[in-house]
Amino acid sequence: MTTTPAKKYSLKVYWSEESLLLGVDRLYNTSRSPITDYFNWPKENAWESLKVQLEKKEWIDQQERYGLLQQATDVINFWQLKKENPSVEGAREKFPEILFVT
Amino acid sequence: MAQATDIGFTREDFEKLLPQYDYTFSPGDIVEGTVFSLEPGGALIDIGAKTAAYLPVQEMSINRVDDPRKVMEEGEAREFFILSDENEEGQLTLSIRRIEYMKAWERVRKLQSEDSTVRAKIFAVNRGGALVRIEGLRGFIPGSHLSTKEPKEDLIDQELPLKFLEVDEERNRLVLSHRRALVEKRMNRLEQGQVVIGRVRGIKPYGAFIDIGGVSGLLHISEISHDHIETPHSVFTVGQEIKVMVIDLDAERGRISLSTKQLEETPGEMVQDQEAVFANAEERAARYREKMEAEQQAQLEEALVEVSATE
Repeated sequence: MTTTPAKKYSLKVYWSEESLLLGVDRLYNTSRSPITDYFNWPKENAWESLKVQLEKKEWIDQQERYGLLQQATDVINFWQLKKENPSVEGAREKFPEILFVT
Repeated sequence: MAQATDIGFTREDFEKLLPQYDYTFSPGDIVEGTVFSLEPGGALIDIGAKTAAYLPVQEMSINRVDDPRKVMEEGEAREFFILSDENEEGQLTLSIRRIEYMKAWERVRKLQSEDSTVRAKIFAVNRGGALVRIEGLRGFIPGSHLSTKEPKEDLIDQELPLKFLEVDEERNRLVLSHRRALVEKRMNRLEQGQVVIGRVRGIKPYGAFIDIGGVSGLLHISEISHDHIETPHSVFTVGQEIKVMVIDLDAERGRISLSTKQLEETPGEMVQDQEAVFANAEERAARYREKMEAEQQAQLEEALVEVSATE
């Protein structure tokens, strides 16, 4: 029987109508610590910058790194659906493992 | 038996060269390592040095850690900051806290440059203001930037929206404003020339502070009436409900400037018949806006004439 290891890292997203700020935190029982810088989407192509910083941290489990980048993609796509007027409440519901700050 | 051939390189030469290629660790370096043993007071880390390096519990995180098991596990790999040189036993001291500090300042600078609003819980208050943690760093909200009616002591454990005033890693200064965050929120719904209902919150020799929907604006003594006024006390009482017009919004400094003077039909009306001013405030403000627009238009045309004259 295999068990999935607990997630050690999590995205943190500053949500506003104009832009997103994305960063990765290390998760502990009751606290979180900064792992990456914050990057702005769309101003500085946060996804690419996040990828570069995460790839330098080879000690982060590769599967988890991919997972974080996939989540970043999903949340950016969600935010970009302007027509559907995405709200941070909707984002929180859709991505419960991400910490959203407004 | 193999014959030793002269390769122009003796055993002694080789021994002399060895130390040069011994990887050295210097304080300030960031290296990768693996946790191989946890102890109550710290952890032993393999970073490829001759002796295992030591990570004291105080250096495990920017946040307070009592038990190393809560923040790391044996076999875990990550990066470490080399805090000090080898001691007599050849052991290096490591830190994660330092890395997190650098990252946290980096992040806070970014948040400031984006003018983001952050939320944080107040964990202590003192005479000068309130203390919060932002990204694990200790931030200060000066009393003059706390916008709340409650006594400061009741603010503990409350989460407030905040904007950055000062971010200075070298001087270890992180200063925030609650007022600016509130004013910005309110300002998005306010515009110049708009009439709002407010309540007189406080009176100072230089003017009255008016609460307009949770934020405070200043009605300067020179903006109360066209007539000279000795003290705002002669016109207003604390707790009174009044109508005011917004004449300026300064998001940068978090200031809202108000006027009743611009709502007067005749000089001194605010002193003689406030009720008349408030009753007709909206329509007088509309006239004020028209006048402002006309003035702006005139200024623009003047500027255009100047431009064509210099061409």
